Amino acid sequence: MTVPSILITGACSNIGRAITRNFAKSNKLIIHGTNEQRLTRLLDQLPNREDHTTWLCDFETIESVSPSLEALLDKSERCISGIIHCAGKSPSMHSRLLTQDTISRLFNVNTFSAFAIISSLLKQKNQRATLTRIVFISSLASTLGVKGFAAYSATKGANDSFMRSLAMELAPRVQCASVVLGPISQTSSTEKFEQDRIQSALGNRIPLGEGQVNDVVGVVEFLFSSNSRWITGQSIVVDGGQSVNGSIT
Amino acid sequence: MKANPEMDELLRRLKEILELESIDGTTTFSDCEAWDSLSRLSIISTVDDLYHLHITGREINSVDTVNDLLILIKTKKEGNE
Repeated sequence: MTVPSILITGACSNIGRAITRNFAKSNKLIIHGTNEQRLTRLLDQLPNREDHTTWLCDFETIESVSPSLEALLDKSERCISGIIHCAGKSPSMHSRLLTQDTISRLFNVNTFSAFAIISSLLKQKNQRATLTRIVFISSLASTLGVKGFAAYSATKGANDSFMRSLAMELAPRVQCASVVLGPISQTSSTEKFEQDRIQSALGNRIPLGEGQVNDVVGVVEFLFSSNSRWITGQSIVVDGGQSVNGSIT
Repeated sequence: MKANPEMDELLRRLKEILELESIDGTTTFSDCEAWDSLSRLSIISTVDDLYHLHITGREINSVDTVNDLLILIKTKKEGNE
């Protein structure tokens, strides 16, 4: 008998950690990360610690993702009921500096890892039967032009497109969505900028002000609940109103 | 002098970011024609890539020269150990 669990990739990132802490209260989790110490520390902080397990895997080495996941599921006797794909890197640089290696590694972590995980699960009948929800953590950069984020934007756009086609392919059993985030305070993306610069640059453009990690958690929770029963293939924008703000004053 | 491939790679990438013919510890970022907000972000990403260290926007704005950056990296590395 396998234990249905929700897989959270990139669980040690600020957003991943907030989602993990919330979901751990009433779900069994597989929490993914690349740093063993941080992963163990997070596991130790979770409620019902014994219900959860860790998955240490570096998504930059894409060939290892499927075999590593399959080995973990076999060993831990778990199946995956839902996926929350938070894993992501957000290097920002002049496009002239992008090398094939940088682009490949970025796509491996942000995008191809999700392909590898999902296709690996869909290949296995027993795993396919238990999967019901897939949520991608995306970014406004997938739809807006953002200086310095060309490759990152491309990975997030790819994820959103992947999600929509998956939703059609896997309906009605599996519901898919992405959560498209505006700037969230204290994440690796926003820490690159000086806080006061962000506030002055975005202060007037975000009607609800800058987002916090907990603003994301409730939306993901909703997408995993029965209240989202009739939603699939959607990109849910969570940006405090930034993307629809056409105000000139 | 002891070879330091990591440092050589950092200097190579800084040269590329700042579009310089040559670079050394005394190079001042603000004197470089290519120094702008995107160059700062590019340096943050380069340090993350080479050293797995997260430099914040505030920290990168506090460094003036390549030597300052090297000191920041060293301090951060020691803090992580």
